[in-house]
Amino acid sequence: MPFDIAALTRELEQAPPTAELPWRVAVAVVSDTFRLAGLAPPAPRAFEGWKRKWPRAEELLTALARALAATALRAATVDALMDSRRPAAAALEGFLDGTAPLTAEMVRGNAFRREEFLRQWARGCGGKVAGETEKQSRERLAQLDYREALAEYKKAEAARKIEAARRAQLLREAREREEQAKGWRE
Amino acid sequence: MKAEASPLDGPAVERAWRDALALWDVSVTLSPPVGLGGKGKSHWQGDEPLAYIDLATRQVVVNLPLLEKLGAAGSLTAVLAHEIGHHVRFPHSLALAASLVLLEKKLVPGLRQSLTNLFFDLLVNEVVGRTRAGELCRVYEGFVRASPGLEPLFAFYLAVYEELWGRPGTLLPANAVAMLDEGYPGWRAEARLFVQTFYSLPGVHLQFVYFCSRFLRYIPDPEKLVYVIPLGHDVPPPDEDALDAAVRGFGAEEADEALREAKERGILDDSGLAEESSRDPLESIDAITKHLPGQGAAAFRRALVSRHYKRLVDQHLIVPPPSPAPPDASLPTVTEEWEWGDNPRAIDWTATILARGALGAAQPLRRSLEAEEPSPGAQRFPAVEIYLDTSGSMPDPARALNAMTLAAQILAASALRRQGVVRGVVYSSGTPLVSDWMYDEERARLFLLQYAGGGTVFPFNVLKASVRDRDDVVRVIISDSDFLSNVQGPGAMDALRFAVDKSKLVVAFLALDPQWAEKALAPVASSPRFRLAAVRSMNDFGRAAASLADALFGR
Repeated sequence: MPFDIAALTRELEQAPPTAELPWRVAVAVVSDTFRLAGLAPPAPRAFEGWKRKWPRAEELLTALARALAATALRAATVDALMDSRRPAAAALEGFLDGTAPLTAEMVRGNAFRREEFLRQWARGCGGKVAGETEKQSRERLAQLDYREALAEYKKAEAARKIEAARRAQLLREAREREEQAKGWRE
Repeated sequence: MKAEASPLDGPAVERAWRDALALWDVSVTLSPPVGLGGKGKSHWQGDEPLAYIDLATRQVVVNLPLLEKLGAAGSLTAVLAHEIGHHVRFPHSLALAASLVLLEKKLVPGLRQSLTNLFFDLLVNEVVGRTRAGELCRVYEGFVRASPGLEPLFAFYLAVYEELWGRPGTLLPANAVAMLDEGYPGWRAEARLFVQTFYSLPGVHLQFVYFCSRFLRYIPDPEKLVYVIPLGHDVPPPDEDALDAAVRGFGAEEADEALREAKERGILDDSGLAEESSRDPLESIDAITKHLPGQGAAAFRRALVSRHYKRLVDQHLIVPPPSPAPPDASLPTVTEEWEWGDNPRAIDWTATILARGALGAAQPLRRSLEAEEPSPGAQRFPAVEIYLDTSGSMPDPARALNAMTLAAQILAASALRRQGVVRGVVYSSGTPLVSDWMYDEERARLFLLQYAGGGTVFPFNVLKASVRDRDDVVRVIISDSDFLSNVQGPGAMDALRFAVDKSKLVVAFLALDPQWAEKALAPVASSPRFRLAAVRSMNDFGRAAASLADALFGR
C-alpha cells in the first residue's frame, strides 16, 4: 500500500490533540512498527546516539511515533518496509537527516512542512507515494526540502542585507518628507 | 449565415456563476455577473478592468471580451470565484481592509499605491487555486503575453504562484527570470519560502506584516510605486466609515501584536521595513488619504478630519443642552360658553355679568390662559461670530491637532446645539474666509477646519462691516499674542472699540500670559461688553473653550 500523502495529512490534521509522548514510549512505538514488518528494530543506544547527532531527533521521532499511532501511516510503513527490506537503522537515519532543520512545531503548524515530514519518512522506508512516479516524488520532495530552500535563501543573504539597508534609508527619508510637509513651525 | 455563439454566452456565464458560488459554498447577496460594456465606474480604479464588484449595485462585472482576448475564456469560473472570494472572505470586512491600510502606512511610509489588494489576492487565489489553479494561470499567462516586460513586483508575484501551484517556469517568461536573477539574488528560494510560510502564519495581521517584509524588496521606490496587475484592483477601497473605525483603533491591538510577533520571529530583520510607533489619528488620516486618486480625495480627507474633531468636541461638551422649558400660560383667551363638565374655575364672572347680566349665572362664560409666543426680538438664540487665527504659528488642523481650531469648533457646536447660529471668519495674512450664518454643526465644523498658515493680520474691516450689519452678536476672537500686535495698527483699536460698543459681547480668547494683554487692550478692558479670556497653555485651550461656552450660553 503506497503512502497516500493527502489522506495522511488529513488524518494528522483531524487527529485529536494529545499530550506529548514520552521518549521511551516514542521509541517503543517506532520499534514496534519495524517488528510488524519483520525487521529488527535499532538498539536503544542507537536512538540515544541519534539524539546527540541530530539536536531535534527527540521531538521529530516523538512526532513520528504519534503519526504512526494515530493514522494509517503505520500500515503504509509496514507494507513499504516489507517490500523494500530496508534496515531499520538506515530508514531512521535517512529520515532524521532529511528532516534535520524541521521542528515539531513546524510540522504541527505548517502544511508544507507536514507534507515534507511524511515524504521524508516514505523515502526513508523506500516506499512509493500514491498517484506519483518516483521522478515526481523526488521533484516534489526537492521542492519542499526546507534545508535546500534555506541554503539557497542564505546564499543571497549578503545582497539582501545591503538592499534592506537601502530600503530602510528610503523609508526614513520618506518619513522625514512627510514630517516636513506638515507645515508645523516651532 | 448564423454567427457562431460566443463561448461566453448567457448559459455559459450562468454555469460559471453557479460553479463559482459552489466553490465557496456560500450564498451571497450579489447579482449574477454582467458584461463590462458601458458600466459606470462607480468603483473601478485601475486600467485593467477584468472583473470587479460594484458595491453600489452589488453587481459583479466581468470584461468578457478581454477574457477572450487573453485566451482565458475557459477561466470565467475562476475569475468569478476570485471576485466572490473578495466579497465573502478576503477581506471579510472593509474595516479589516482599513486597519491593514493603516498598518501598511506605518510599515512603508510614503507608499504611493496600497499593496492590500495584492495581499488579499494571494489569500483568495490559494483557495480558488486548490481546484482551479490552471484557470487562474491562463489569466496570468494571457497578461504576460500582452506585456512587453514585467516589473519586479509582478514578476515576484508570479513566482509565488509558480511555487504555490508547483509549476516552476510556467508563468515567468525568460526575460523576467533573467531580470530577477540579476537584480534579486535568491528570488526563487524566497518565493518558495514565502509560500511555505505565509499561508500557515496565524492571523491576518501577521500574514500582512510578513507579506510586506518580503514584497518590499521588489519595489525599487515605494513613493513612486504604480502597478497594474491582473485582478489586482478589484477589492473595494475602505469607505469613510471603515477608515474612521481604523483611525479610532479598530485592529490596532492586533496590528501591534503582529508587529511584536514579527520581531520575535525575525521577520523584520532583513526587510528594511519601518518600525514606527503608533501614529496620532490625524497623522494616520494624512497618510491614508495622501495618495488617493480622484477629485473626491480632498473631500474624503476633510470628512475624516471632521469626524475626528467632532469626537474631540464631544469630549468637551458631554452635557446635553437642556430642552428649553415652555413659557408659562399667562395670556387670556377670548370667552367661550361654559358647559357642564368644564372647570368651574375657568368661569370669568366679570365678563359673564357684563355680557349677560343677571341671567349670566345660568349661562356663564369661560376664559382660558395660553402661553404667549415670544417676539422675534426677544428670542435668546445665541448668535456667535468666531474669528479664527490660522497663521503658521499653529499646525494645519488636518495634519496635527490645532488647539485653536478645536476651541472654535467647541464654541460653534455649543452655540448650535442651543439652537443658535454661527458665522466663521478664518483669517491669516491674505483675504479672510467669511461664512454665511450657519445653522448646521457639520457645515460649521468643515468651515472652521480651513487653514492658511501664513502671517497674522486681523481683518478689522470685516469686523466693522459685520458690526454695522448685525449688533446682537457675541463675537469671539481666537488668536495668540499676534493679536496684540494687530491692535497696534492704524485704526485697529478704533475698530475694536466700535465692535465692543455695538456688539452684545466681544471676547478676546487668546493664548498668552494675561499680563501681556493689559496694556495693549487697556482702551477696551473697562467696557462691560469686552472680556479677555487668556489661556497660558495650548493643552488647556479645549477645556477653556468649553468653560467659555458654558459661561456665554449657559449650561
